[in-house]
Amino acid sequence: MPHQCTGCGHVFPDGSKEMLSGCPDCGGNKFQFQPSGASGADGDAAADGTATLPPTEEEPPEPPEPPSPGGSVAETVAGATQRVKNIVGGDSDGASAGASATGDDHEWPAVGRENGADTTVASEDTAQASARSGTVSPEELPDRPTPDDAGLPDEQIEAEESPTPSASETAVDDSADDAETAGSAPFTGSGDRETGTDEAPDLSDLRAELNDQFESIKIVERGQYELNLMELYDREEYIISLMEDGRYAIEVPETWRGDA
Amino acid sequence: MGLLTGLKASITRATDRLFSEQDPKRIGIYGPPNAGKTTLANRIARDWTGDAVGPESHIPHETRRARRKEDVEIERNGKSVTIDVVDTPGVTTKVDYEEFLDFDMEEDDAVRRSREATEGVAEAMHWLREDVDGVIYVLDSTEDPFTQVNTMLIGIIESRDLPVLIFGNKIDLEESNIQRVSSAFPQHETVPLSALEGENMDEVYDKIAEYFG
Repeated sequence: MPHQCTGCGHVFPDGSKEMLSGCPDCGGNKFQFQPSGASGADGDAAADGTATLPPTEEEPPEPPEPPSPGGSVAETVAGATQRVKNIVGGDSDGASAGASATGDDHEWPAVGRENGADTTVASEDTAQASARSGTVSPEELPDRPTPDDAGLPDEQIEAEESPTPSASETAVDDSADDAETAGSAPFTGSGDRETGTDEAPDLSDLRAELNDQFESIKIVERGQYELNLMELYDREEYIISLMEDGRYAIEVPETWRGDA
Repeated sequence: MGLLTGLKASITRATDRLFSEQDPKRIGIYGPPNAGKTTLANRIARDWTGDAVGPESHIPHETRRARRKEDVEIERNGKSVTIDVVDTPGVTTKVDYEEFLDFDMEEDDAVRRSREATEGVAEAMHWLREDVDGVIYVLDSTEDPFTQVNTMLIGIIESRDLPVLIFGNKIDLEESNIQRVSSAFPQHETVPLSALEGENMDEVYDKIAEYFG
């Protein structure tokens, strides 16, 4: 399942490492699964944000953690769907959508930039606005080898995290009102925002959290694994073997079907 | 003439099968490690085909690859139901080789078992996504059913609208608490059983025929 920046809606292919350095478009550090039926849901705004995946220190590897023992994945997915819809296409409730998007960004100030990822702050033009509200098609995404790009069976995929300070040239601050896009470090000046900077983790913590959330299988140490069941379930490709150095082999759906 | 008749009957059977609406459904046996999935799969397979599916063990993650037993024909009330039984590796969110060291396993073997178990979970999740028509979810009724893995898997199964039966296994043990299992998933039918001792298997087969026939 692809991932999506909760701030600007930038879509990352499943397994992308790009997001580990923050969203290249808006610098946001919160992402969520993009459910396949994202456009199907309708209803009121999920202003409480229960479907988002705020990184927390103790969070186990399953990203869309069921809210309670009684909750279901379907509910979680439905909630996430609503959330995506609100953020991506939110115009009817634009104020809250915009506020929550920027609020999310400001909750983690400047983390995406500590990595040396220079981002140019610019006023939002129409193309950027379009990019922010539209969904990116796979062809438009950067040509970066990811597990999903594997077109060959049994292809060895580098699963280890590789820092990718990959901010694009067109950094988009997603605050539509341009209120603070003049500064060179927009995410540090968040005094006017409801969410403060007190929760900011350092970059390694953030990476660890994202790793926890988005990797299907995390090798903690030799012989010790943490599994992200939802991610494993959502993957099209099938991980058939692991190696201790962090590499794994996959079989893509076309080749593995019919036999097991 | 007898040969011809036999051949004709055989072709008729094959044709019936080809166009039957009752193609064998593939039933995945899911659950956490050590719930008794393989013991159940073996019990079902032995009862109806005479063969076993795979080795059983008290050491967790004995089953590290999905194993399939095809064309298990279960007869109930004069009708027969044919299913393919898929015994899957136990699903968990953490695999640690140190867990296996307690079973007098060498470290290298434990690490390998850990890796294979992890691959097995990936395989089980993939089967769930692609290749099962129904699920038997096996729980150890002596254990707390309110776990994240159980909740998540049942949630996934529900989201796919797969028919599911909850089997509360190990009722032969004193600590068994079948009520706790049924109250954990009240939206689904819970069948108590002991796959090891063969207790309550009649109801097990009744329910399998009812749900997956």
